[in-house]
Amino acid sequence: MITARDLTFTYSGRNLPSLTGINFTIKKGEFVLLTGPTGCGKSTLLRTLNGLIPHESGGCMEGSVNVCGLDTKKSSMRELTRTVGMVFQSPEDQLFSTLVEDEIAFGPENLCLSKEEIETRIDRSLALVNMHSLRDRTTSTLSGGEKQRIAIASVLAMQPQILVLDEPLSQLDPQGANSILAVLRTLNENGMTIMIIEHRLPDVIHLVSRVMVMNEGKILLDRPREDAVRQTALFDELGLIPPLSQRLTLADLQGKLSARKNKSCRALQHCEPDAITTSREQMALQRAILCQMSYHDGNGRGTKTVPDALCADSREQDDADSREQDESVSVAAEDLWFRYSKKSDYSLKGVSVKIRRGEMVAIVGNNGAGKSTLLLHLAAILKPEKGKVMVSGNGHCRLDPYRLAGKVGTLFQNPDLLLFSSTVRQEVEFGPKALSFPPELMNKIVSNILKSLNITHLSEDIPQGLSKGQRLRVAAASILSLRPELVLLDEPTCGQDRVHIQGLMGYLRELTDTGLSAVFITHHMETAAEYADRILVMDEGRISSEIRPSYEYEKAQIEIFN
Amino acid sequence: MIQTRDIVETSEGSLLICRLDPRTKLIILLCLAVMVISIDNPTFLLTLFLIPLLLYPLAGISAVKYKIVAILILVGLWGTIFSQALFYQEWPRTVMVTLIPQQLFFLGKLTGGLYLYREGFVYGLIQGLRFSTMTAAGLLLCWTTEPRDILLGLVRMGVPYELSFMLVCAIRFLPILMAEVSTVIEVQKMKGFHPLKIGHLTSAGLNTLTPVLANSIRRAAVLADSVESRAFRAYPGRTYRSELHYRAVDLVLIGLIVSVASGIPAVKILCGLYQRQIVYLPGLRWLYEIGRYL
Repeated sequence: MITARDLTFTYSGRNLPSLTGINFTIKKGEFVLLTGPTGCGKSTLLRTLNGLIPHESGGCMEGSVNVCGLDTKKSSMRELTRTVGMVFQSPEDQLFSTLVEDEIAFGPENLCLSKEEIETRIDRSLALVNMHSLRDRTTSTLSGGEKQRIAIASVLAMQPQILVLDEPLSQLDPQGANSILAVLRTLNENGMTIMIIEHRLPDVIHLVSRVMVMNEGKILLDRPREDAVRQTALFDELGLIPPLSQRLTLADLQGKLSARKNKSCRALQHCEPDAITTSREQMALQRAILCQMSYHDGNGRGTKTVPDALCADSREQDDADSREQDESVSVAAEDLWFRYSKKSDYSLKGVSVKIRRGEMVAIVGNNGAGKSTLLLHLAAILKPEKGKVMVSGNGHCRLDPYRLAGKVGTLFQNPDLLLFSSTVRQEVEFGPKALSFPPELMNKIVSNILKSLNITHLSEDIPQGLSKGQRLRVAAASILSLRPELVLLDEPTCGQDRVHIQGLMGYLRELTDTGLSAVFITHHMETAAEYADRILVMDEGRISSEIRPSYEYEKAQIEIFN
Repeated sequence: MIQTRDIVETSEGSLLICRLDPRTKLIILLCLAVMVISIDNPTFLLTLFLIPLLLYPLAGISAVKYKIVAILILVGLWGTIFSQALFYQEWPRTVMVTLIPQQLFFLGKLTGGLYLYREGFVYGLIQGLRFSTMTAAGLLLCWTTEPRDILLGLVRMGVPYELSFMLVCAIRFLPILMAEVSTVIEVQKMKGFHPLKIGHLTSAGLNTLTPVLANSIRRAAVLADSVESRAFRAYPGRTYRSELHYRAVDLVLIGLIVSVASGIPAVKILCGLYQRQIVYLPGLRWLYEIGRYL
């Protein structure tokens, strides 16, 4: 059905090809997963299948791509778009109609089909994605998963034989992602040939029949699924999540969190003092000891467990402890109520949360749960209708982000909006200069951050010209160079490679040892389990549950100090 | 911070202005453009400016949209009036306010004196009112008409589909752009740089433009790929699912506005011919009188 022979492609203005010597054949009904590190050429390869390359892209294409008997170089877009449908990563950027039915009708209208045929195709496409009831809705009222399904429906209305999807799950919550995967499963079972690019390998591996792995413009692996999943060394080498990694759900998070904490406790428990070599372990031990001392006064009073001290958000405080608590709280929100307009529902309904110094807190939940809204309140960008937010003990209902500069830093979901300087170095220096840091201190901070986030080699590059993962790290560096006490991150894992996630989150984890607090929103349960001290689960504007390490962790801690 | 959801939705249409045919609204907008260019009298221009503003409450416009209109109009008006008042070069001119007297040592001699002139103020007011009227009317059109209806209206009026699509995409994504501008302003504040402080305005403008422009280019590239992948302009024509039909009220309004809009330049032309002693018709003396006030 799809055949590529010696395909090589170079974008105009570039010296090196983005695709080199690509050869593969895909048969009818196959479900192929295409993966690889960011920038390896996956999206470029996909664009050669529906004619965007070479018809719309310019550049130099050698070799051939044949789709259902059509040579993509010689056939027109008119023919190719009827054969291959393409769905892109961001549903916001590919939908432009305000009404669902208009969006789906767009393609058939362009094909000059009759009105009756168009109506039939709208109904059929909506049925295929299980969204028939939303036909008359406006696209702005849809969730992320619904928008992506509409994007798929708008492509299905063209009745293609092949569907190609470029990271369709990257911006979706687990519920949204599952709905998309269910649609794709049904389509493939009905005979549709599908090729999907994804980084979330554990989510899609059970659906696909074949796996192709790319790197630097070449195909390194092209095997049936059962063979491909055994190549764990290759996935590790390329910084990809192994396909057979456990997919975590909310129910798994407490176990994972506890296991991680237990592991570090046992490492401390069994180490000789001289064997504690990492600064992180030293500081964790010192902190534990200090907490132990403050909560056990020798007379047996205050027999609080160490985990309470370490993760303390204890609800049973006497006055002395309460004062000490307040000093260790980085930001606290009390009974927040907020809605975007008088006509809409409340996005936050009585939310209260305390974040301690040195704590890393994850917020998870489906789209529309209020996670970003809560974050914007902690950043003083939004003001609550009721309730208050306090930063370092000071109420900041009247403050704005300008007055909190240097105390609170926020990494938005679209980090590109944080980049406005001519070079990476200037971007990272921007904040310290604005706050009049002494030049020597500023240079030291900037150099350290560039090195820690592995972007020193990009110092003189234009931030907006970098790859997605690099832009995220530069944006993070530009926030961290202000040395804030609290960092808020809105989905820093979205669309990122495992390597990039580990780089950024690992660095934040290290900084929390120096007292930095971090709150991050993620749909990536594995990241939440790996880096958070506790996890807040939000649902419909409320914190529905809080996940902490379990009693087994507490037992392990007590054993260390007894 | 402006949220996209605050400004992207059109008003719900139980009101006359929302239910007019999109072609009627486009024709009214065009005629308004002709009128504001033809009229020089600030009083008449102010009247024209107030007409769309008075329609805002009737169209059910939300508070945040009022804020956006107010910012755009005030910034435009202030900038135009101040710059014209300061740099007016024509004669006669009357000094209204002296900013730097000519006699002031060094600065006075260097600049030759800086003054705000009454004639410049009036000229700036005229230009500002023209701009503000079209801003208010244009936004009213966008906020009371679905983008697909604007697209269809333009196509039915003879505008090529590609141009209509471009215009509607711009309208569709303008609220997102505005929300991003708002976010970038907050980002600058977050980094300790207040965009509205004296001396920061130019840098703030560049700082805001860079990420918004970069994002727009990326978004445009994805949208272009998406519509190309769905056979955009694969054929010279295309099917349109919905059709537009004029109602009686549309025809009456079009008749009225076209008459007024074509009448005003006609009167101005006749008055011009009279003033230049090219053509004089005694029976039209009442018209020349009206023309004097326009």
